[in-house]
Amino acid sequence: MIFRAKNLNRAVAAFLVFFSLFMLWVAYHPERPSGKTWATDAMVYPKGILFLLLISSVILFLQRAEKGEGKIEKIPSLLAIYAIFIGYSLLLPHLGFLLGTFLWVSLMAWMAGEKRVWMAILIGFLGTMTSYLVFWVVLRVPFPEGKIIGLERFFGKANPIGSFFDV
Amino acid sequence: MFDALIGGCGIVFTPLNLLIIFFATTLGVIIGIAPGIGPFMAVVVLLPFTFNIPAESGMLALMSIFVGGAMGGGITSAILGIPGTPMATATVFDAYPMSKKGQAGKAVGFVVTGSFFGGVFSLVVCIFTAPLLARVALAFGPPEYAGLALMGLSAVIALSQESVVKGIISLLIGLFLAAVGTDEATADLRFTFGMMQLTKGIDIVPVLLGLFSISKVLEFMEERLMVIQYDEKALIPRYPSRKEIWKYKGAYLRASVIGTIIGAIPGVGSVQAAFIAYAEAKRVSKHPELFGTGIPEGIISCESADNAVSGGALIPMLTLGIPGDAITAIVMATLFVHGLTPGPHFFQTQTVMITALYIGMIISNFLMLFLGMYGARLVMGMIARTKESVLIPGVALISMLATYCVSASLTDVWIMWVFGVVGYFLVKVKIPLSPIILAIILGPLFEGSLRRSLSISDGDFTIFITRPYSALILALTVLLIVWPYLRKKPT
Repeated sequence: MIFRAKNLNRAVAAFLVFFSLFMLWVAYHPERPSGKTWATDAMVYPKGILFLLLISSVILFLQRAEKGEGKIEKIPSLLAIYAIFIGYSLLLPHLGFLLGTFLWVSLMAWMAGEKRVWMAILIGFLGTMTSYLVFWVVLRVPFPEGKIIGLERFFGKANPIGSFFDV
Repeated sequence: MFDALIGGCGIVFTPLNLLIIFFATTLGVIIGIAPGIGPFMAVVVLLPFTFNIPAESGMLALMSIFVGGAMGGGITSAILGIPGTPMATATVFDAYPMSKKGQAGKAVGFVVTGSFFGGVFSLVVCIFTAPLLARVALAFGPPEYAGLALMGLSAVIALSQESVVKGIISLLIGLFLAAVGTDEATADLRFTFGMMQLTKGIDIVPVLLGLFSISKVLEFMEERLMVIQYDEKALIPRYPSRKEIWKYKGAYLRASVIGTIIGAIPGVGSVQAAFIAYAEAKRVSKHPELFGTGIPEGIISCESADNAVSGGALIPMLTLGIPGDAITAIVMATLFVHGLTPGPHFFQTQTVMITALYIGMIISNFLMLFLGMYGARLVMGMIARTKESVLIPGVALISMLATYCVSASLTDVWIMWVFGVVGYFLVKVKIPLSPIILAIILGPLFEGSLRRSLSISDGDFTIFITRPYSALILALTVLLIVWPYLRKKPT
């Protein structure tokens, strides 16, 4: 499935036109009434930006696609990789950082061309453990703990460096 | 002056401080190379350590991280086309095309020497003219800030290689994104759609990594080509020859001056400096059409300017007690913890400590000159040996972690995924990505200063031309915009 340049240019321009119109509608319907001057009306500035964006997008829509503007190929594989990103973010609060990241990285490695399953799993394992050591243990970033499988609780207790970095 | 120099050397040339400078610069380079993390995070993480060491050692550690990080980001821009830090966004324009031409080593050489020159230049200027520059910077009010932000935004004309309309669209998208969140003046919520997470606005890191990093992952899935296939010779970073340095002396100097001046103005940072220097380099160039195709002037202008900010940002902090940027604000926090208050009194009484800071940062710049080349060689070697099945998940994972670390929130990760798709489509239709980053950074400064100025003048726009500095900045901005058209010869 190939999406050609001319269509793509117009599709992006059309999207921007609708986006500007929608946001302008939002700007004209604020949650609470605002003031009437530049200083007191929070929406004057964004309205100006959105009007300019609307005009520029219309111009882009009317312009002819230039030579060399890309086409989109392999739409299924793009959708698949994006579905993995989305799935990872949705499952992360349930699986937890360690298990979720391990599965995500392994799957990404496999999709990026690593056909040996054990190697993809190894990449996932090493990637997750490195992240765990650098970000969790050293930088103390609080990653999501799994609601279903809480590996983080075990690793949190088994922190090898303990409070070394807490000054 | 001489006494201060001797005293400063006495402080810096101790084993502890030399070790601190070495490790902090190395850490800065490493963190700068890792996409999205940036020296600011390293400085925040290391801040508690500085409480238990002398104040001058703490300052040296934090500023050395800044110096290393400012350069490290340029290396990732050159090799992967992904800015390691927001301030290295403009470096991508010419460094990455140069790498694509099989001259990655040369590109890295210009990144490193550009950073070195900018850093050392700004520190030397700092030593001799700090009080004078601080007085000029203090005369800046909202109209001048608005003008300066507009000047930065006008750089987009120079960045729009093929279509100005597309450049402006990109800029407007960024300005709109910068307006999302709580309005500073009225505390009204704008375009948050009831989402609490958006009330603080959209952070730069998820947008940057989404546009430049995740979009590249998507591109790979389509074309199966993540990075340039480097040959062995291209992998060896090399310093520019003396002849080359002499040839581009104007580019080094001009960008360093721009970076130092912009650094001295509180609240205006490295990103703006790099973009303005790039636009200015293109404006004065005899061959502006070659910018964006991988020419040394493009790389030098961005790197010299963003590293020159490190010295410039010290000026208002040391002389007036006003931090020049986020990192100098943290350095100030270190000084407060040690019972020192930067400002005019501090500048007059602590000359030895201040000179030690200058000397330490100059040493850090020299170290960076070697560490940068070594680090680049290591990274390039690793990338060349790493299979794409490791590199792709690696890039996605680092991007995800760096984004999550911004506020330990999955919302930022979602924002990154969204901008990954946005970046992918914008690249396809040749809408430049960098103006979005520029606008997100400059947007709040522009809007805030514009509205404050109009509030002061009761809505009278002449306030922007009746103040001398503001009028001068606006005149320069107009020149920056119209110059490319004035230069065009009729065909």
